[in-house]
Amino acid sequence: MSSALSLAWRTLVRRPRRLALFVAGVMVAAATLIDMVMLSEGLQQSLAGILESTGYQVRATPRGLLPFESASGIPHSLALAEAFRADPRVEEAQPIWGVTVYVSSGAHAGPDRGRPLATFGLGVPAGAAPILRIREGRPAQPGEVLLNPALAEALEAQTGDTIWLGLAPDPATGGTRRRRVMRVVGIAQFVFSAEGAFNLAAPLEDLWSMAGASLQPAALILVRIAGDADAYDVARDFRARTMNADIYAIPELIEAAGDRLTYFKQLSLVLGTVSLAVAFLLVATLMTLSVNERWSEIAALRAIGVTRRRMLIQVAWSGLIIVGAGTISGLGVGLIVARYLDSILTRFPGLPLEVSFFVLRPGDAGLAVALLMATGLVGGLYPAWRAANVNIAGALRESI
Amino acid sequence: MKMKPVVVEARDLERTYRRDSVSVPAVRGVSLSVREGDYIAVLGLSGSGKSTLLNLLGGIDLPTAGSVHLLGQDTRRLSDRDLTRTRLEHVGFVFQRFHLLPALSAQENVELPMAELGAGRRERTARARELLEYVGLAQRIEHRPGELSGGEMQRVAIARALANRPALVLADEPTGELDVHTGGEIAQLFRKLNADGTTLVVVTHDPALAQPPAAVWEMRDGTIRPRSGE
Repeated sequence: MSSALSLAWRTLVRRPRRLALFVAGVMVAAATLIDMVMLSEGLQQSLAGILESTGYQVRATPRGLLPFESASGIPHSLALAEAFRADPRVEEAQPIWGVTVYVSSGAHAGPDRGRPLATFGLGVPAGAAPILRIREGRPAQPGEVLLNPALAEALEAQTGDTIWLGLAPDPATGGTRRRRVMRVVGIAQFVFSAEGAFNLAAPLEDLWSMAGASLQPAALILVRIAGDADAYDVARDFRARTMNADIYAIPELIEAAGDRLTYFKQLSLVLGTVSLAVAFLLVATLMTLSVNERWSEIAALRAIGVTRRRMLIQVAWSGLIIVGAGTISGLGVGLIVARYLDSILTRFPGLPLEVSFFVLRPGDAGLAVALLMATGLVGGLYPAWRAANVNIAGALRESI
Repeated sequence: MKMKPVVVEARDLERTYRRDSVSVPAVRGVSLSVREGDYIAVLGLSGSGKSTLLNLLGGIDLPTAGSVHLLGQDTRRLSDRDLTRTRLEHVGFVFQRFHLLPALSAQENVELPMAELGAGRRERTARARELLEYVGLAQRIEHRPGELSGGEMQRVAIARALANRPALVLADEPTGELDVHTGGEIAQLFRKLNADGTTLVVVTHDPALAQPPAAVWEMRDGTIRPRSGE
């Protein structure tokens, strides 16, 4: 009936509109805090997720360049990948190249009619799909391609169809130069693809041949480490003996990304602290108001034998109830707002489709909830202390 | 005839407040014994020190000098925790403004001191219902204070004061917020309480509360003396 929690709850709901306003205030603060926690490391976590999802632990890129920044790439990539494979710590090494190609399909415009679509062509080892998520079909063999969903839709192409692949548009014919017929063997998403971008994946040899890239360039070489070998050690060793490529372990890249995204953390820290301060002030204000209103009632309770400790707990519970309700609703609102903001931010041109600015990790959510509950407790502490130490006789005298 | 045991005893009681660095004596040199079964009505003008005396007797205020022995214990020597426990177990309070918890029903308000003492739910409920019936509110047990009249709220407050079977009930202007008729009913309830063995000290302006069997004392300027003829 009258446990401290029950009494705190029933006392609070005596003023339902005021309670709702304060809970709403805490909810906004909680939503902001949750969003800031998600933002602080969200992009780094998201990038890490993408990089780690490929299943490769070491990456080689052309010296001084990011992957796919230039078509020139690391020369003689097959030989370099073979050299990497020769290391007993290496399980697999896959060169990957990228070049702009032009695509048309019978359904789209006909082999030599219509406007070919500029597409980013990804060269991967035949029969492999290292940085692709295949949704249907299988990896491409020579003469075959995988299309990403956006390209398949634009071409109105599906598995089993034939498309025309060319290196450059030919204004004279309206088609493409150096064209080649390829068969679609599936639909796959390139993990670094931006939203709406057209991508296809074809065997390296086909793209090299079509582009006349005799040096067998690679935009990156992905290396999978065998067993429990250390990726840092492998990357360091490869770096020492490879002159024309930058080689890093994936965790190193994630750390470097984290360093570059420090401002996100700083922004999140500042705004998160502000939201906690707002939550603290709301709870402290409501608790102070409530205690002041109940001053003579509290004195009477103390007079009839309610202990200081019980009064303190009851008022502290009130603060926790407000913060608890605000935090629970704030979590939901925070997630909705984060999703909305993410949809805006990830529209930035060139960002991988799978990247996210707001990532909720259970530990972070737990931390945010713990911080808010602690804030509620601290916010209610002074009013609770006042209630517990009310001058009984004085308060009763003032009430008359 | 064998004397009944003393419930509370004040000796040379002094209580001085400081206001703006000026000492204001509220109670001066009061000595008083309340024995089991007594009904003492303390009359006096506003500011005469009645409420302060009541607070001192009940252990919700401590004397500046002199002593209050509540059930043989010097209130000044008790820790706040022990004093709170003593009030909970042995003293019932009835206030002018009732001071019921608005969020709780009449029954829950009466159960409150019992819950604080650790009584079980069944025991509390039975006792609360019994007490509410005793004060004439059997039909109003589920009503909250906001749904009760002033007289009914004071009856609930009286039932709450009796919840833990106190050795002493202290009432501060219990009819102060009530009309004459309702005040008369409350005064009658107090007489009934005393007739049933409750030890009462009531401070009041209301002559209805100072009717026999009450022993009437008068306070003036912080001092107390029996009313002439008592």
